[in-house]
Amino acid sequence: MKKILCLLLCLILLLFTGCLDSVPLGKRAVVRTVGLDYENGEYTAALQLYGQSDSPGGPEIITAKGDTLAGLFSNAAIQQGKQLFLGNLRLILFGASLSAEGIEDVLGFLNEYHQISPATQTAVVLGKAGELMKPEEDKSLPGELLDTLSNAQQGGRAPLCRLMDLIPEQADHAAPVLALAEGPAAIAAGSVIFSEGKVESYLDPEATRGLCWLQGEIGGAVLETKSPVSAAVTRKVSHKISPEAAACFIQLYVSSSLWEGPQDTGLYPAIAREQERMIQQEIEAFLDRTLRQGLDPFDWGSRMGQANLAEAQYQLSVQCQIEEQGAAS
Amino acid sequence: MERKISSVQLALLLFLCSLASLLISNGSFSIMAAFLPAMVLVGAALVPAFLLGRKQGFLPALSSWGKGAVIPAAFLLVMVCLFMAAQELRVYGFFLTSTVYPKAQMGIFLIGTGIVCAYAAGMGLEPLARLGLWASVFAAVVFIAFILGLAPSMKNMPVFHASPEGMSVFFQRAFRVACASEEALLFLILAPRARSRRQKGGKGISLWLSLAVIAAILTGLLSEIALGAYRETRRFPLHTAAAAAHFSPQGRMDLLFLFLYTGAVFIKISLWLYGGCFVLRYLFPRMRRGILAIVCGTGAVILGFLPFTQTITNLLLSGWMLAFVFIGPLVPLLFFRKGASQ
Repeated sequence: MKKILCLLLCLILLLFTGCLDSVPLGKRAVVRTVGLDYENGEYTAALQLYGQSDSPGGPEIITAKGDTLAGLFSNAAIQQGKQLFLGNLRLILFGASLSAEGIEDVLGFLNEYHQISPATQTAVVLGKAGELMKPEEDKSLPGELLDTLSNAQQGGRAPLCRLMDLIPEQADHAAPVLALAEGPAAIAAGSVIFSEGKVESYLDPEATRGLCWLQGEIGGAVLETKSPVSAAVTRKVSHKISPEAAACFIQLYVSSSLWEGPQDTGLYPAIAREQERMIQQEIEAFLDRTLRQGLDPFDWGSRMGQANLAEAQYQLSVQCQIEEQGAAS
Repeated sequence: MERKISSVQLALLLFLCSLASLLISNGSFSIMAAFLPAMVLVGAALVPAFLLGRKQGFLPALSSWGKGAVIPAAFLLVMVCLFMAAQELRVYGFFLTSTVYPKAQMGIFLIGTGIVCAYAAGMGLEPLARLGLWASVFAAVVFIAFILGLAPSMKNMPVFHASPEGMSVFFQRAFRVACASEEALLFLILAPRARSRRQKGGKGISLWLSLAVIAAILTGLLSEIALGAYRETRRFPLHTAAAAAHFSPQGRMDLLFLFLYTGAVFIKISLWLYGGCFVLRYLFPRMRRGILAIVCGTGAVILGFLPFTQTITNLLLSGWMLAFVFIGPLVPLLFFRKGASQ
């Protein structure tokens, strides 16, 4: 009798699937990418949805407007006739005008939205985010923007920037820039430095890779030296800040494997020196656009004490070593 | 006669109670490091009470020595148990309504959890202790998964700084943490239910305190390394870190966090309710445990709805809890001496 009662109780549990109303998957709009723009006091968003494509050409993209972000998402849900689900959101794009205006309020909303992961990647778009996600009729949709970004990050062409990295109260932070290239492709077109929620500086691809070298997150950059030799490069970076001397000593160790060009090991030292010069040039370009302008993407200012970041000395030492031949794994 | 539990099982139960608080703590690594001296202090505070009640338990010791003081002390203890259970219910409801179900009514969670925990308390300590073992294993697995999932984003190496004011502030913080160690009181209540072998009792305390210190430092480290400065903007940093972690193929780990926290909270509330039942049963030995569990559960849920519950539990945790542990064993000694002189 007791067992039957237990079984009945267990069966009753099937009726209690949750504290809230259930939402069938077909009634949910699962958002993958959000592109936000701000114009004439109004937010515009393009939302790319998962696996709900009506057109054979690509994923379904809906657009919505609103005076506030809460209103915007509400309008999008009404317009779509589905509940928006942002738990699988992977990428947030900020349009150029919004980035220039300031994203502090937007970040406040996104950070408080319980479904959005703080590890969601972010990027700034040259132009309108909506146009990058949904170009005009004659152009094809760009490929997976997230793949574009992750490939660019791997090669040092874009810094990693998650939602939680962009805290207005904290140090400046770099975010990658995406742009629509000729043809059906989005490209990583450098990066920007956010300061107090606003874009303060644009870094070209060269300076962006200088930033990525210092971040130590390059997994396989291609160095096209004059020889001509291409090499995939990994890294190890360390830095020491000396407040007394108002100086920062940066050391970078790079190891590479040759992909193309002469296989003569006697040429390795010369190729390595050329690589060192190239990396040094990229880092110098980054320092000129940021730290020497007083921008502080690594929060070094707090460790520099009274010394001024812009007037500090940056002593750079780059050592390259070619380790093996053939394509890098 | 209810079966007793081993002191290791008791230690794991108390560890899970500590974990329930640690998982939603927003302390930095430096603050969590204060757990080390704090737990040493708690251990020291427990020694006299432990020695006093080693053979027969704290309450019987009070009863045999304290004479008339025991009844008001026991009622006070029941109220403390109910307030602590109610506060934990409130915290759990607040967590769920602010992170997972923002549109839900908190009352649903108070009542639902209260019923389940009262049922568990009514079942007794031994089933809870068996569950505690599996919950502890699950906690270890979840922490390993967190470390693996957060490993790729671990770049913000935490800097240990006791405080800008110096070590004295660090030790003050440690004292505050020790004062708020509610598990110390829970230990005194539950200790009579553990098999009373001297060595194992000591091992139980040290196991619980060691696990609590490890968990505290780990939670502080994980949230700080994974989130960096973002941690300061979060109410529940470890939950945020879990949401940010990616451990393929599971993806986001906040669900694992939710399971673990729910399990730990369930055990903690059930233990407080069981503690309340245990003390009440001491006062009313003829009442059935199931009835007492219903009384305690109902009391805790009602208190959970009342706004002043938080104020009272804050007051308890601000120092009274440890004071009770420190001073409690001395009270019967005073009575004993008074009786002897008369």
